[in-house]
Amino acid sequence: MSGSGGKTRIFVPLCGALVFIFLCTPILITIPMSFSASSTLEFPPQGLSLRWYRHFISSPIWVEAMLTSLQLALASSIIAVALGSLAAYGLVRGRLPGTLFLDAHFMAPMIIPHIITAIALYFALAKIGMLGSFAGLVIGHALVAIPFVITVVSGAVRAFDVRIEQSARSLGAKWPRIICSIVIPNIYPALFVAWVFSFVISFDEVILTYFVSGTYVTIPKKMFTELQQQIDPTITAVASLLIAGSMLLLLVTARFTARLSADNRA
Amino acid sequence: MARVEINSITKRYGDVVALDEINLAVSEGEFLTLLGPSGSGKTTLLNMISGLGTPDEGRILIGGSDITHVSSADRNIGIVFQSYALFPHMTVFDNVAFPLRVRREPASVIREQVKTALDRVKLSGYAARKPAALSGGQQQRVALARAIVFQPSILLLDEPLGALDKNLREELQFELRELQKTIGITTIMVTHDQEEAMSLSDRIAVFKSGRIEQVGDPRAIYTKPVNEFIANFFGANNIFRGTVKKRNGAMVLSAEDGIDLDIVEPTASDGNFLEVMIRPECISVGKPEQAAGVRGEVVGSVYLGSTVRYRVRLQGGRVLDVKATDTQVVFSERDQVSVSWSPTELKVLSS
Repeated sequence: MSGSGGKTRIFVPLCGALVFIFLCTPILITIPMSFSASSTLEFPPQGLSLRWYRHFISSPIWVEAMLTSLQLALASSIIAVALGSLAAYGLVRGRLPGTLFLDAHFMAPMIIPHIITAIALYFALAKIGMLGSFAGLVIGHALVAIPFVITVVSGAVRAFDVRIEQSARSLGAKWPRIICSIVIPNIYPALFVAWVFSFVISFDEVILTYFVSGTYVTIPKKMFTELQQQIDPTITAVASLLIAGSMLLLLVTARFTARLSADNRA
Repeated sequence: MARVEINSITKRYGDVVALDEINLAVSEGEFLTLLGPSGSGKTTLLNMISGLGTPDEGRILIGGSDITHVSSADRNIGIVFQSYALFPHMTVFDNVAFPLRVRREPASVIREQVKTALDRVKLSGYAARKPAALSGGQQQRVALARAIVFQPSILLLDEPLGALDKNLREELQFELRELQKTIGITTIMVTHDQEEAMSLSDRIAVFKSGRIEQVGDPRAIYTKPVNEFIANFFGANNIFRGTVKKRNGAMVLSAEDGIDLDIVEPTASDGNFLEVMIRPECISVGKPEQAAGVRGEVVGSVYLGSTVRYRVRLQGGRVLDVKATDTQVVFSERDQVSVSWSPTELKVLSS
């Protein structure tokens, strides 16, 4: 460590605090704004009311958007975890010659800007007549979530001793049994985390959705159009609900993985 | 219990020949050890037998059937790894029951056979525990129970005791030998520890650079090593090379560094080249006043409780390794000593 101990000891934590405040400010502003009594976005809010939450729940369009988003997230996250986990296992355990190439291929949606993926998907779906369909949306969302699933699950597979699987095989077990009875029971925390990732990614996804959703409306899409057209604090109510939902999910995942580490140590 | 035949097995990794036309036969019920330094090919051969690898050339037969290209799952073999490879999420019972469940045995049969297997490895009563709650030695026993519970045709052990401390290792060696004899299963073990090989095996196959240097029972390998590598592998040893000369009516080996050794080799004749070795435990170390023997200086002295290991530099520069059993008189570095041995203890390596 350098000799400027005094300055570093104040400077680094100060920077950290500033970054932290910068990241949290949108959250800290949005939530109070959602309780505003007036019909314009104002901070700090003059007068408190739950009217915008009521407006959200009673608005058919918002409710439909919420349901669409939830269905979409559920479907695409399950598909992403199923396909991504199989791919991760194959990449780690398999002895295929083109592994490096396959790896890059699967990771591409994470590296290529979403807008490019969105345009490509637009043309691809148009060609097979799936533009504006729910299935097309599910495919698109699963596509961008799979790289994250692969990253998380391949880490877990790598950490799992291959000799345990070899052992199971020598005792007579074939692939399906090894995967179901041996691998999954040992890597399921990673599968859960991968699922949560995929769900949140899908829920947040706006760019691909905007291109290929047709008449389907998701929460991010609705919020995007709302911002362009009429701005009333309903949007802040929705945002606050999303923030609360995300935090809840984060908490559940954290407790889940923490309890698992405690169990493993016992 | 089955016979194993290994015919001309060759395995290459790129340019490296890991196994070079290996031929070996293991009799029913025999305990054979594959012994050798790291990279000698012993583990590679075990992988070929277990099915975790496939040879490039050659065949492997178990009980007369060619299993060279049969999947590891269908070979009906039991394997014990050095790392135990127990299923961490299952109890001891479920671990041992696994191969029986895969074979769809009825629950009552499973219960009975798991109990028998656990009794055999002296772990009755541990059935409900998880591997994480067991010690290394206990985990190894579970791995063993799991490998024999389904009565496989052969048992393969890959450095099974390597991760254990010395006392535990010796105890388990004894139990392993007893168990193997009781159930009479053909067993092939890989190790780099020659003491372990000697205490457990009916026969040992010594590997070097992908080839088998010698196969034989422990006594044969120790007393009649066919070359210097094997002689050295079984403990430090002292090798003299030189020409046979006749002096004063007796045969003497005039070694390269000037030392003359009395020999009683009947086949030696004047002018022959001879290479002999003397085991460290056959050499006595005494005070220099004792006339017979070669003078030297102690350059290393290690007290080991039951023995003392010396390194003695003789005139001419050669250093002998000595294992002395006399622990009453212990010499230290820089002491002048006289080393001697009986000429009958000189073993001929090559002539």
